[in-house]
Amino acid sequence: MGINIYNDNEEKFSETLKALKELPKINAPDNFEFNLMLKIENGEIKQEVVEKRESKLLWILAPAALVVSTVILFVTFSKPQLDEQLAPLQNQGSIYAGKVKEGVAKEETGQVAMNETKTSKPVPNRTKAPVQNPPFYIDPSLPLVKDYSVSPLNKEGAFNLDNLIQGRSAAKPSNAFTVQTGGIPDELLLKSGAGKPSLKERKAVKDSLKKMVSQNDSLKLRKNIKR
Amino acid sequence: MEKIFSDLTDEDLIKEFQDNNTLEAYEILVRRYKDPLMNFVYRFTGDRDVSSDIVQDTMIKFYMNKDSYRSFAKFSTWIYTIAGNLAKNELKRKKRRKIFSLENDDDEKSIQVADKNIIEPDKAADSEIKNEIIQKALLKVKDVYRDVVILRDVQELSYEEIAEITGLSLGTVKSRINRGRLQLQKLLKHIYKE
Repeated sequence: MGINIYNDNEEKFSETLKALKELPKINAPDNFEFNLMLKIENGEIKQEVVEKRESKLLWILAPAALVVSTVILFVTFSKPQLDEQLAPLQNQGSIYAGKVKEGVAKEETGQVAMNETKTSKPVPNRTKAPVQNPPFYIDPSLPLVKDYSVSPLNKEGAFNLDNLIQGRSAAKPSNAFTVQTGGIPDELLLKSGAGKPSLKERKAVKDSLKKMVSQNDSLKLRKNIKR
Repeated sequence: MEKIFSDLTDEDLIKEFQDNNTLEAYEILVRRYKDPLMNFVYRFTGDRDVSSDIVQDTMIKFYMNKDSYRSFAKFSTWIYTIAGNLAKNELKRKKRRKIFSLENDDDEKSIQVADKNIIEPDKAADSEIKNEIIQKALLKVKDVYRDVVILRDVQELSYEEIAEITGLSLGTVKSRINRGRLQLQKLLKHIYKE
């Protein structure tokens, strides 16, 4: 434990070093050993050991409990989102299932026939009171899916290839206003004015008729002139 | 039996205590180190009662964790490391208490008063007061420098031993000792002028 002189600067601090070395040595109190042995014999050490173990356990258990609770919370609250991410079509399916159910309900109430392809007006059921169904909501972000459930064959057993390509069934009239949304026939969807031509279309029809009439008139006039 | 044990080196004694749980070996080691540790801790904390408690705790730790000592290290450095760590923890606790308490630091006040007004040149020559001033100056030195200065200049340990105790490199120990001494010299300047 003797001093090894490594530092050249020790001479520079000679006075300070001398003062430090001259400091009186502080000794432990006389009853130091007695108190120490008393502590050991009284089992204070054992208590300390137990406390230490408990505190160590606490240090291990506390973070473990925190992690477990975090995982549980995460799983509990993120489950629906996960489902959506994993199987988004399942959710869409459920929406459509609801719509189909609605359609079935309508059929039961006599409002709409399931396999009816024409956009006819709903026939009120006279025996049962009409059930008020909530209006449908069609998510515009949903992809359009052609409905292949309806047979493309018409009554004669033939089918129109153009209609099939355009997604129109053979049973449907070609001029019918149909909206193929998510593979659900229009008849099942209660849309305001879904089966009726709009004002513009009516005007267009009217204009074409007028044209035809005027052409007809002009032809008649020409014939009269020739005569 | 006691006579035989007292002739043994520190390392042999702790081995005896580890292997056979011989309380006499432990007692001899306590007797050997209680005073040097008390001196070291007192110079570091500046409080006798606190120092006594710290040394007691050191000895209890030694008793409890005797198996954590490995024979490749010197016993003295191992026990000094325990005492030093406990002393540092105590100082940290003391500082925290100071932060939360509304009272001012009496020690620092008294040092300033002693430095400027009370101590006259003839009184400064008085060894007791001088020692007190040196002790208070030591307490004003930064913690990181203070422990190495005490270990080197008060406890007279080698640089290698200090490096082992503090876990620092030899170069860091030397530079810290230098800086500590410089701080101390500045604080004690007026004593040497007289």
